[in-house]
Amino acid sequence: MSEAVRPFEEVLDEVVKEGGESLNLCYQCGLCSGTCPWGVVRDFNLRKMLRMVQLGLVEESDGIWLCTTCKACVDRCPRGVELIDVIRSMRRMLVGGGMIPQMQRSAVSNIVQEGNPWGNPAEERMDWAKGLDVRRYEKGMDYLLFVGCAPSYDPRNQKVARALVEILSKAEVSFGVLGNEERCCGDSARRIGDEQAFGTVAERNIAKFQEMGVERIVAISPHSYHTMKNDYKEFGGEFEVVHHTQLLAELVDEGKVVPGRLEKRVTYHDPCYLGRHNGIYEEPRKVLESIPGLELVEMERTKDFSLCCGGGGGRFWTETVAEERFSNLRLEEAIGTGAEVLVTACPFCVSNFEDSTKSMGEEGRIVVRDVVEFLIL
Amino acid sequence: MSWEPSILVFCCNWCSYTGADAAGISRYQYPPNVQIVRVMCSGRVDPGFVLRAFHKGADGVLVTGCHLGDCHYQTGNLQAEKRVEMLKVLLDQLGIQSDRLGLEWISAAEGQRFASVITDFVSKVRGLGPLNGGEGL
Repeated sequence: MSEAVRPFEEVLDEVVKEGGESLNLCYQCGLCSGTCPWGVVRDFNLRKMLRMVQLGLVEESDGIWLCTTCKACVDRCPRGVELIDVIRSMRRMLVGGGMIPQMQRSAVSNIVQEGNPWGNPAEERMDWAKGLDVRRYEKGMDYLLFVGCAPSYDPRNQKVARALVEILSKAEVSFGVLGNEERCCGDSARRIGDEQAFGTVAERNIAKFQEMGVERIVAISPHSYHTMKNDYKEFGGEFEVVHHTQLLAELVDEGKVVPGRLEKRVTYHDPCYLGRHNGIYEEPRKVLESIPGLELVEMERTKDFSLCCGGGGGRFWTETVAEERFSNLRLEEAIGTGAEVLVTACPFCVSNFEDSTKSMGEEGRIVVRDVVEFLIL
Repeated sequence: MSWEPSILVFCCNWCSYTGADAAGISRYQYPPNVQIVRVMCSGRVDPGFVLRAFHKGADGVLVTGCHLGDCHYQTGNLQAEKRVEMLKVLLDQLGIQSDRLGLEWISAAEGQRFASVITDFVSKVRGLGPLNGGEGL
């Protein structure tokens, strides 16, 4: 039997105070439920969750931790409800009450204590650059290359970082890295909802950047890019941040990078934090189109309709059962276009798609590459 | 018993369905030949739904939605408009008179308009005769 509930005003006030003001604009049209990629793989009703919050009923449930912050719902919501912010404020409340799932908890504590979500030692942070001539950042250099955690420690993404360094050196861009002193940008901590952890990380990074006299940053991960460009402002950190595909497009334009010929049919997957969050759709495509012989085909869901790979919002640090992985769906879609290569520009996407090709046994049919990896061939 | 047209009406959740409610609450009378199917938005009406309705023997199909510019999903009714336009061409080609398909915008407050739209549409379809018969089959 259903029972009448009285709204818990206190909880609602708390959600609104934590940044979920737009919650009250919701008129329950259900477009978010229809848009959310979770609806494809499991039973998940975002509209209902929002209604429950409007009534002040925030409960610990799987649903709150599912959101990958892909922004598809926010982009389409006719009322302009910032669903990501609402979900984040709910997460903050749960985190504040100590109700944070184990996997997210260890990622966040590693970010704060070790400077990376895996908890790998800081001394190994520069291992990716073995044999490469990478200089430490000094004042006066054009760019600080912010490598990020995945390209520093994850073997697959280390190749992306190496490729980028090779290209930038060849194009004679003056850049340096922070080396072993680089620490996580804090993206996952913020998306998971641990505001205290994020504040600590952000302030520490900003202080470091300012001390080193950093003005311009080039980030490999769109997540680092978004966090440093848009979130660090709240903590007084104003830097000019570019994503590596933006820099590459510029270099290609100026003729400093001349790509070699490559006869391949490729398709490009828009990472959420590059596309929907920051509106960068053209630059990566421009780089790909500059490669002679390369044929770029689009998937059905492309640009602002791109399907999330499932790695955002702290989901990268959790386990998703095989039937519920968006990356599997996306890989099938990419294979359907007849492309030989699935190109993307985000370490999380690269890792997730790489895992999917292996778990689905599609290794012979399609390979996963970052945009920059094409330019060193 | 004489022939009575049977008509399927698609109403969007936000405007026309609420308009139908308003007609009921205000006790406006309209002919009982219509069966209403509520959809969240007129943009949800797949061309296949309309063809299926005719296939199942409906004599007329009416798609209703919010006035242009009032769609609660911003562009749903624009999509519905395009689809109905396309369907009308298709129906003519299939040998079904395209007048059997209608498209009307009714707001949530227009109970009276809902009743008059239905009355007009029912009498129009009545004039066209039964499906097949009216097509000269």
